[in-house]
Amino acid sequence: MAGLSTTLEIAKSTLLNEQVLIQTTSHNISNAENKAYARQKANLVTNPAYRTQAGWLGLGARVDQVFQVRDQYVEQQLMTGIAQQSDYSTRSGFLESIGTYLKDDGATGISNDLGKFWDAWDALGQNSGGIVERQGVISAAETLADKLQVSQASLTALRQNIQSQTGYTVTKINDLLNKIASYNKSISSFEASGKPANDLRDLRYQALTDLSELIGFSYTEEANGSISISLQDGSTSVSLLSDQNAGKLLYDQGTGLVSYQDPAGNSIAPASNDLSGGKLAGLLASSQKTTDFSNRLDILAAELIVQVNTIYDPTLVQKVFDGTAASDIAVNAAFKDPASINAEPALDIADLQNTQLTNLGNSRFIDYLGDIQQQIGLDQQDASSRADFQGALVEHLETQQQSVSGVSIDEEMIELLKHQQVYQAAAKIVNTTQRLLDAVIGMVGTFG
Amino acid sequence: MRITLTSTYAKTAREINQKKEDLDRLTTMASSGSRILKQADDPLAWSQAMDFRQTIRQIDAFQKNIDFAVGWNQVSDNALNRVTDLVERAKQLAIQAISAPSTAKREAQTQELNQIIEEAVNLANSQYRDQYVFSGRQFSTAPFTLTKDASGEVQSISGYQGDTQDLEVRTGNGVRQAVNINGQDVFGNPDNTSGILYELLQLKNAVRDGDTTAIQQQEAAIDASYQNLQHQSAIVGTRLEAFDEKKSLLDSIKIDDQSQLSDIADADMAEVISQLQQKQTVFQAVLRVTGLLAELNLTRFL
Repeated sequence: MAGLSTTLEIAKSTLLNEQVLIQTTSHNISNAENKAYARQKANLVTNPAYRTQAGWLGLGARVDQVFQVRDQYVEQQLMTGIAQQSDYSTRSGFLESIGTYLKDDGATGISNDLGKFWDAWDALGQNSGGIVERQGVISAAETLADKLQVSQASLTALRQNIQSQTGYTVTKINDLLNKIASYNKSISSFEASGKPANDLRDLRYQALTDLSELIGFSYTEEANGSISISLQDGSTSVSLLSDQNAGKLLYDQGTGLVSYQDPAGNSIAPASNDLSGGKLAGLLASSQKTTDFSNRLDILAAELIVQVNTIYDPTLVQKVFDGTAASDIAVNAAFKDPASINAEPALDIADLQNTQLTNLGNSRFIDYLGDIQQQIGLDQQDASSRADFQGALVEHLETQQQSVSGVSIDEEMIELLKHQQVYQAAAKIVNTTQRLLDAVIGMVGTFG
Repeated sequence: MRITLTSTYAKTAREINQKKEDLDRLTTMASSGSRILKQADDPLAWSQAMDFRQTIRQIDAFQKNIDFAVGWNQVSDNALNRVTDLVERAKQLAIQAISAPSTAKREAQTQELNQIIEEAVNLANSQYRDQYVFSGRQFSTAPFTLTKDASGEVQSISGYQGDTQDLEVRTGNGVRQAVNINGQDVFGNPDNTSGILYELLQLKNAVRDGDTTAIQQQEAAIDASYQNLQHQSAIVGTRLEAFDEKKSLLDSIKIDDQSQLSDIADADMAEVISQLQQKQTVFQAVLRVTGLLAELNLTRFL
């Protein structure tokens, strides 16, 4: 068997092998920018040798399999990081909106309108009969009531926006779960042959990364290549994907709660959501924050209404403000007639700005407003510094993940050089073998 | 560690973005002059700044109140001084009238006293920003009205028509100061049985009638009222001084608050600009390095 034709056969398979390797390199280079792609490598193994008198003779090499370079531990950590970052950057974004809507530095905002309201009463105290001063009190009261209403309305609008985004996010999560379930199905059937379904795994990895932006979860890979997903809501562990069966999330806008249906179809409804990471967790927390600040505005408005009205007329027959909260505070219709304003309590009302009120936590109106501002600032600072920290962590993990799975152009170039040289060497063998065969044929040709 | 294409470029993009963010923050600081642009920049300082601005706003309100009180008291002071002058003149006329002058002279004296009374009532009805300053809290009611006959001679003066309540303004946290003095303490009671206006009218009648006993009586009464006028004048003068002092005290508190506010909220321009230059240099370096990245590649050497 040993001979020139075997040499030719080996050279041919070398040429074909190198073509496979070059194709893999080309595939790697074309996916160099794709973060979900894990670089592929082709495994060369030696063909079985055969026995001759001289001993065992080699029969070249073949490509055994094309496999991916992945580190699942780093990948899972990266996804946890992405989930955390997404959670806090969502919170930070919405807190920034709250901060903008309620922005109050003492020169603009509610405190300024409140200050002008007090000043108007001081002015009325100076000239109780003056039509200008009376009109001044009315318009200051109207501006203040309007500012409180507008502030509250923008928080309400923000909360609605958050809720609709929550609904949308839940839909996207469910879509991704179904998508991953179908990848599970394809991968397990493709890999039944024993070869890894590399590119399908890339697609599933992409879907998992997308999912980690939306919700925090953990996953494990089963023996058949499919993965199962579960999440932690407080102390409850919820399975969301098992083999080819996806569970789903359900969002109730009324209660603002997310409940679950596991892959087996069982409902799981927690009393409160305590999710770890993901845009969904950020949205639920932001909705809660918006409600908190909204409540604070209501407390402030309610106290303003009660205190001013009680001082203005202890019997509450005549009123300055109608309403009970920031959403419905309005200037009383009778008060809007300058002639009917009672200027006697003007200074007492103006003094209200220095009064510490029990319902405001024994603080003045301005302290309460300052507290709101400080809380917004602290919350926002906390969320954005956590987002920054998680961002740095994600960056680090991403570098690590890419260090394992990413494509290095330089490396591929060297691979290419290598393959090229091997290819050229194999071609040289074909060339040489051909000349040798020619020589053999030439020897035969001298016959006759 | 393998450094790969995506991680290199992702890192560079992040660096550029971060440097741009820093630059943006610093330029906004420099152009607005503010150190804290949103609550999260420094939550405590933000709410302190807000508190300071509102404290300063209230100090402004106190100062406006004091300005008003000063204006009011200047009108009162002016009226009291002029009434004092008029009363002095009336006293001179009374002394002249005691030495039984001629009818013509008596008529002239009566006429002058008539004018003095009219002017005194006018002064008692002085207004500041459309409010009667000597009416207590009855700002739109004239404290006194006088009735004249056809020849223009004053027949009678009403009793005091105002009240004895104080007009107050707020001049500090929980501090209220009275602004006015009421007409009853200065010019005459509601029953119209005493007071300088009543006495002037009685004097005029006595001079007209040549009743020297009555003139002497009134002269003594007017002397007592004259003392009272000077006393009231002194009260107003003291108040004006007190308001002035209070105002300059508030001024110094305000300046103090403003400088604290500036410490908290204003940007330190020298520092901002030097930081800005630093960041600019760093940013340029990052851009240059990014440009070099494309060069450092094996493909360029093959």
